[in-house]
Amino acid sequence: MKTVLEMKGIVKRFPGVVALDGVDFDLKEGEVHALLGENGAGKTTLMNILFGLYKADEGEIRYMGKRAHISSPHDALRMGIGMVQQHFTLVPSFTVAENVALGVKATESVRNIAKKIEEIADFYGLEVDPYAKVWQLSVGERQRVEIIKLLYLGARVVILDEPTAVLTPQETRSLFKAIEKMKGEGTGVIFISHKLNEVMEISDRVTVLKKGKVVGTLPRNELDERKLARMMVGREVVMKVEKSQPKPGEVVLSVEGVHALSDKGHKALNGIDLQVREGEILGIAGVAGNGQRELAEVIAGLREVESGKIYFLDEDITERSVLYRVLKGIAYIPQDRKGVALSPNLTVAENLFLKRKDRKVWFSYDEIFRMAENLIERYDIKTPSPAIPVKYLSGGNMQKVVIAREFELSPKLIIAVHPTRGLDVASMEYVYRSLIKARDEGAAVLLLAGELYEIFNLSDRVGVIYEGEIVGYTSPEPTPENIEKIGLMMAGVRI
Amino acid sequence: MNIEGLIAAAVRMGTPLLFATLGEIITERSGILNLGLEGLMLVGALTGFATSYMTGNVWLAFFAALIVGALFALIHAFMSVTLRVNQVVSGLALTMLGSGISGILGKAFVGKPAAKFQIVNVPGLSQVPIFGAFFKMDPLVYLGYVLVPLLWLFIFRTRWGLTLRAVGEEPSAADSRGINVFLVRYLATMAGGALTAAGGAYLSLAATSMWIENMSAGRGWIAIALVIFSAWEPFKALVGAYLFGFVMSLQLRLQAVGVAHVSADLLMMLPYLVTVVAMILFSFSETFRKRIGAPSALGVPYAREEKS
Repeated sequence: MKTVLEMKGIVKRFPGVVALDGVDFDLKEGEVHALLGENGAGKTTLMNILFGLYKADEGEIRYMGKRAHISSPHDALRMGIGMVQQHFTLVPSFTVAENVALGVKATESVRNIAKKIEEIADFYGLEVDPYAKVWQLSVGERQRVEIIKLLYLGARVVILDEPTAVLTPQETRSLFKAIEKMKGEGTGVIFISHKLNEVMEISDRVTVLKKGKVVGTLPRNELDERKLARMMVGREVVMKVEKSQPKPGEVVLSVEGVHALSDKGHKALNGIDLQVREGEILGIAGVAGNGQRELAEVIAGLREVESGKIYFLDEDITERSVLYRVLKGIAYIPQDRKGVALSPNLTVAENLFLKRKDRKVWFSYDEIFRMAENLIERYDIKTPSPAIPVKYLSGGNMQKVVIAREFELSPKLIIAVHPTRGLDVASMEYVYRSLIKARDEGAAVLLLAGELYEIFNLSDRVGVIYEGEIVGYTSPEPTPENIEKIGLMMAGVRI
Repeated sequence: MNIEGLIAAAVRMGTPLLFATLGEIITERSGILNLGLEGLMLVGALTGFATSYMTGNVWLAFFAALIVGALFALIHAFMSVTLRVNQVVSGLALTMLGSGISGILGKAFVGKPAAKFQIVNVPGLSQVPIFGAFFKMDPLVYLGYVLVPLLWLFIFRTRWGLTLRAVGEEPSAADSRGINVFLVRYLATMAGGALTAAGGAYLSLAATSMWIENMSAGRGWIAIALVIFSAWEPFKALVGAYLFGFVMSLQLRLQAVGVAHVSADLLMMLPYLVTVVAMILFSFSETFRKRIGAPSALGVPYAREEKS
């Protein structure tokens, strides 16, 4: 197979960090080349350079054997290099066809384009209605539109940045089928991921990045998941979390028939019922946007309940304030670390001090620094000092600050929403162990996560949320039947 | 008061508003908020008047106003697109700069006479009873009539319009499709500036034939309200502009007939009062703003390489 693309000695510096430090990468015709690495390893940065969104400080790109100067997405697309970014770049108020019509190769009428979209959709199995407005589409459909946009332009190199993060298992399957088709047409695909199993399944070659450097590039048949994980973090990672048998006790949290609206005023929770007992982790799986966030916020007291009741240790807390719930022992790990959980410009110490049970008016910095140093030590937070703004910490260490603060109050109920999103493997393990430890000490844990392996790894029971309701429960064994069952429930099928 | 007279007055008063509103619609559709309309209108009015005074050619004067308006708006484009300055601040600066410059440079022209656009009756149409009033106007009014459907076609039926809207709605999407977001925003801001200045030039070339300091008298601000009123659509802008023109002319007429017991000052407030109400309605809620179709990226600078 012919080499289509070569990147040599790419260096990219951001203020204060070297994001890429002499990276080499290449892609052959009709090949799926996975780019694997922890968060912050430089995967997306490298691809942003290839797509012309960033400028490399050093290094060169060769495309079809010739040196290529890519200084904007326009250049990249004209050459046949396209990228589906993590944050979709679609105009919500436009139709699918209008979105495809935008920009380069702007000669065809929208009607013709719609016809082409249908052909492409048919051929690759990427079904979508060309006349639907983008805001009406699901996340999975939007991703298909992004891919169709590139195929319409005849892209020879397609970059997919963490494409499966937002998909149901079924949608992932059909994406993989489309990728196989692209391979068949000679299109090279660069697949960015941090999910080892997917990388093993779909790719022909794998390049592992770590801290801006290439650890290695190997064909799939020389790799297995353990080896990849080792390459990613540089040490053996326990992928299966060890945990003891749960000893469920009293019901801590009981949600009964709760209805609530989303920010946009749509129905987000639709009479949801659930119970969490002490000493157990209830994992809630579901496609993003089915009411997970609203469920967490309703329990934490951050969102108004339209109807229904929430009981905490047999007490009706439906109308109680956030502060009341915090003091009663409800801890909340929100999905948005920078912003909801932490105040980015305040120091580590101040953030740790934000929630305290004693409501003193005056505080001394000596005292909170002392307290912070103690927590930094005990929770293994890597920070040069408790006096630096928390926004300068890595994602993993920010999460440790959140966990330290929340767990210090010895909560009886912990609500964790995507607690490991954006974290590297080592930090993920840390979060897992913290949650399991809290459970073993008798806390009830409600885990809302998009990643199925996380749900399987941690939960003692698994519930599936769909359109604001729990559609069913399964046991947490990751057997093929259970995965199938969860996939169906995530798609709204009641079992 | 006869109806034809009312129509004529409303249309004449409304035309400068129409030009400025259409200009701002183009600018805002690209995601740039230009609050410098008042300054642009004054600069346009002075440029038009000065050129007409010196050359006696009203059309030349009108085109001079267009060009100077585009160049003046270039300042705002540079500030808000390239330097990514807060667009509200930059726009306000433009207003102050415009009224300052036109005030100083205009000193020499105060009280001087110049050429003026003459009324042209459209054969046939102007004979129709009542309705004919629309066709006994100066050429710039007719230009306004033509501009509205043309602009609508441009925005909603051409690929350039699609590009313009995409840049205002989701610049990152446009960028990833190879559209030069910066160029589109520059061009839209300049085109908007040219049209706004044309609205100003109407005041000194058609509505009157003289230069008066600050002669735009808040019309730039009314136009900004009208953009919202019109939901960024040219046809609604036409209705809105003439409606406001009607309110403004009514105010003059009510004063003239001396409506009993109502202070003239109160009547003069009327158009501005309506503006304030429109603005309050607009900012009432995010959902309202969404529903009436404000460009999503309005007022938000775009930067490609941003590390959060």
